Amino acid sequence: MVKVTLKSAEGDVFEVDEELALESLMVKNMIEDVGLDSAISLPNVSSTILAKVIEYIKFHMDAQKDGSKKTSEEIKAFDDDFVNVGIPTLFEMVLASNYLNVKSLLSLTCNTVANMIKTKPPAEVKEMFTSAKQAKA
Amino acid sequence: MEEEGQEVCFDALPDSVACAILSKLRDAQTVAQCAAVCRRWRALCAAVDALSFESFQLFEKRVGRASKASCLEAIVSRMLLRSDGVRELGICYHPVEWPWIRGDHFSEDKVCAWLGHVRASLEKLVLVDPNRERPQPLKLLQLSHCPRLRWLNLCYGIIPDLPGDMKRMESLRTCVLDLIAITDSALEALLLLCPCLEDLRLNSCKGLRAPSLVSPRLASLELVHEMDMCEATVACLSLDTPKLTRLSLSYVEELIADGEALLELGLLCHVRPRIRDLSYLTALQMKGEVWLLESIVELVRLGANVTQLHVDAVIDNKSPIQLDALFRHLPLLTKLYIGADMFECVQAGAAGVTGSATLRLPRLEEIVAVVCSGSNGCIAVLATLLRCSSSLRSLRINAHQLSKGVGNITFFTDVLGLQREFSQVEIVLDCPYTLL
Repeated sequence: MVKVTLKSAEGDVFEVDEELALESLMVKNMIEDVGLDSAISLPNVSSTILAKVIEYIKFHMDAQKDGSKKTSEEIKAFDDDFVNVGIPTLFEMVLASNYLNVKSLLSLTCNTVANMIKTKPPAEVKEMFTSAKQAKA
Repeated sequence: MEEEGQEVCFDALPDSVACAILSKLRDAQTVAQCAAVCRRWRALCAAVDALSFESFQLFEKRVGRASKASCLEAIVSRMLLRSDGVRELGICYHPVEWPWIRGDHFSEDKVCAWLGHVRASLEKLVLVDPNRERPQPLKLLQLSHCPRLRWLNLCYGIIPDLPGDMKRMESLRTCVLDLIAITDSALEALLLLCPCLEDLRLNSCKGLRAPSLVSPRLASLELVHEMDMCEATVACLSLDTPKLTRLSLSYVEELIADGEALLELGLLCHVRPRIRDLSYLTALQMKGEVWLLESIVELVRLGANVTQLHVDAVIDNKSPIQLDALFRHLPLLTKLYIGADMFECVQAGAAGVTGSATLRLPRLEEIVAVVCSGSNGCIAVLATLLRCSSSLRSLRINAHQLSKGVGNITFFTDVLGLQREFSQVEIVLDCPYTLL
């Protein structure tokens, strides 16, 4: 199995199977352009988030393989648990999956954010999503 | 991105992602509330690609009796005409008060203005407009000016004919018509204007008598009627649809079709078949009222390669038929459901015939049989089915309609006998406690 080396913003190195790395269309394009010899640098993704993204792709790749015993309930439970994180981490995952171009994860995280907006009263939405900006300003 | 002490939040998202998130809200009221959050959100909300206006949600609080349609109309006009690039649009006004208020529906001009505004981007439309007073040809005309429309659901309306200058709808793949009065010629013409249509569903539509549908790509066709509308039967449906794989009909008296691509056929209420070929059919379902036995036999004969057969039909002219004659041609059958009337026919057919030597159903795995009378014929049929199906795993005998009688004791004993003789098969007797 061919390995791909990914380098996070902090410079940490993650070695993953090529098959897994190709799930990120951005990495796929990079491999097509520069080949597999050097590490692929991902300056926009922190180590914590990159580890999460790899965990997500790995789970879904295993679940799709023939002979996988995972039921759709188990997959849903994994997804629910996976996005059950603090808002900052969730937004980092939205950004990372957008940057890495992992469609399924982008859709999962965006849906999660949309559901949070749907289920909260308007005033709370305002507070939840714009407070950081005001703090910055 | 990962600077010390600074948390990533919504504001850090690029417009495309932020807009994608807001597009998942769909509900117009929620989107409108989000537009009030800040200036950036206002701009983002005007660019969402999905919006849904639902009268149930919008009118939860406000209760005014007169003309709710115009109230929703104003909301849609205000929001939609300010939006840009909506791809998926739902505008649904379901009147909840009965009788309906006359004229309480959207004005055709308004609907045309909405469609005109989104025409370049619109891909999916659900429009529930409770207009049952007069046809609105301009609305249809405007729809045909949406070149990217691929999914259309219209509810309520009258379509006696199509406007003469209606354009072809080249992108339309799915069309669902609910509670629409449409004539044969209008439906026929609509299909001719939609050359790429793959999926057509008509739910409780009135006015069809003997449509002759031509559609080169149609893969799935459903004609559904509510029970209380069954006076509106279609006398004859003829299909020229070479790609049709799924067909589900209710209250159609006669079906003329080639059938050669069909994989699934479901028929509710008697249909006289005039079908040439069903050799690819895998699932055949016949249900509902007053079937002629000949029609059932004809369909089973045509569908020689079915794997799933479900006969739960009320049969008008019950007459004896032998199992052998009915099922001999079904080598691939894996699942079989025999309803009460059909079972009665084969049960009568089994009387006087001792065993069937030729019947073989090598793939059959599951049988459900509904029995009404526990006579000897009944056990003979069950025993024959058990004997000729070498792969059988389960036989469920549904005895809920079993008539009470002293003969039942023998019947139960005989079933126990079958359970002993065919111990490899799970034989379950399903009957009300009172019978035991």
